[in-house]
Amino acid sequence: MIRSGSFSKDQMSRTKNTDSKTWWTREREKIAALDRKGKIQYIWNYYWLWIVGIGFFLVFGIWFVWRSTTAIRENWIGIAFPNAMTQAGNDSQLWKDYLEYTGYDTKKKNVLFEDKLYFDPTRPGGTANSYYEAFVAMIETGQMDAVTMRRDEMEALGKSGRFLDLSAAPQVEIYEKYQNRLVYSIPYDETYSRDPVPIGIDVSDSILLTKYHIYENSCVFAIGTNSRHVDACLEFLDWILDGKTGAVDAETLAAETETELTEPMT
Amino acid sequence: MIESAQTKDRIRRVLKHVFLIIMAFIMIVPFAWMILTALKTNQEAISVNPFYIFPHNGWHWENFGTVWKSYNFIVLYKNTLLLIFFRVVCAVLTATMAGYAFGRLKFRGKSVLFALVLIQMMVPAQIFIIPQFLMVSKIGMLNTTFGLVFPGLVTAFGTYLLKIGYEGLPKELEEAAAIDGCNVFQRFARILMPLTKSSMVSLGIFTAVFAFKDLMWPMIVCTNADTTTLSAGLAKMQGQYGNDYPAMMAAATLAVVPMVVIYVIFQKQFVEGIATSGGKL
Repeated sequence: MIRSGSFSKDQMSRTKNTDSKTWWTREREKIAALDRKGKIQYIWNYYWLWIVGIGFFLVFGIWFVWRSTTAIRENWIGIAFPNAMTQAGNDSQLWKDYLEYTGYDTKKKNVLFEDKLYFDPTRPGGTANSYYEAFVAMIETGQMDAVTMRRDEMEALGKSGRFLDLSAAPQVEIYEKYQNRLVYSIPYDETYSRDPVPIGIDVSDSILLTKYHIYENSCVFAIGTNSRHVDACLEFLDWILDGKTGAVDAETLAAETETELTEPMT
Repeated sequence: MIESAQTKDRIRRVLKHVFLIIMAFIMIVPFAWMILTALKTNQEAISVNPFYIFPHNGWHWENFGTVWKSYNFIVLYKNTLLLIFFRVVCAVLTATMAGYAFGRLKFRGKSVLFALVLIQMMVPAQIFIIPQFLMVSKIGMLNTTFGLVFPGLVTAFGTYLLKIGYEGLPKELEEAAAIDGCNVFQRFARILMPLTKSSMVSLGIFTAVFAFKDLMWPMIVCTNADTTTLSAGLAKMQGQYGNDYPAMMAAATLAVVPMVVIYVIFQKQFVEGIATSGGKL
């Protein structure tokens, strides 16, 4: 029971009576005694806040029900492209071409490509920003199914345990198919493994680099541990590799290593 | 003797003013730098000489036009103002009611509930991001104003601030209202709530500033350019204009305009609000 400060039960019950019955009867009598224009004037003067409030909640309620019943909640796939060098988000050429390739209907489910994420997991403090926090939220909630990044960045990011261990039993097919392309990372969690764990697939020779120039030199694809669309991720992988399942071209890797080593620090 | 005291006083005053001028300079320089960089060419902007602050090759006002055209600033302003408006309204409305309940009413479980409110203040906001995102996502509110406003519908800090405000009011006021026939809601709405105006204004200001500065949440829930806010839009420009500092600074200058306007309009309330709550923005 809600009771105010220092009031007795008698006082409270008296107040309650005043609240409902007397007040309501008095108001009805007052309104009834007025002419039509006076009634409108009186109601608006004394109850405009209630009218506006209830009106707002009515409109909001209708909109809320409409939106929550009609919104597209499910995704076909969500892929994050952190540190992308060109547009790779929704409505980019990559996104359009992928939709054309898969035939996904975006009126039924979303295809999310997120390229506005900038962080550097290779250096201390490189992840202390909102982009990284947003990325973590997206990957932890399964909103983003997969990630593509530069090789050194992926190796550093892979330590967090946020990507599928491709050597684990459910991923055995992926492991076997891409075993010449696997990228390893030693997890922070020593109880999980003290040895390098395969967390990504090197796609440095994929169309992401050769056609769309989203990355330079190297690129690794990894699937999030909370992904609900692993099959769609593999389909994307097939598309970007365009049938290539063998080892990454040695020249590409050598070139990227050389460039990284010879490039001055900026 | 008197002359010596006057000289000491004058020196003290001069030192005080010198100190204040230096402090004001430190505060103003980043803003001046931002605006002046927005008017430079990219080559000038990346000049490392820190004293090369004024544009030498003419004032490039067109940088503002370029950024304005590239990014839909009208939409960004609209989204940001909607976010600020709804967050302030919701925070003040819920906090004032909860503050009254915790500050003036007696009910079972009050201490436990208030402890829950306090616990919410003690943990980092990042902890709530994932559950909140999942909730917004499950009800299909991603990329909407409601999705943006959602974490600000209730505020633990505001509840605490308003509770303190209500506790500070004399009991006699409420008792007199009750004797005159006011029910609990009337006592709250007509008698006590108007007296906590300064606390509500403080809360409104804090909420508005935090809503304006909020970056992470808009970045997560609004992936569409049409629904994002100034802070998130600006952050995304960092990638697009990674090397174009004048464009970035022009965008930053445009982004602070609404807050400057709000500050100019509510300058008195800002100062009073900070004095009331003892906080910093």
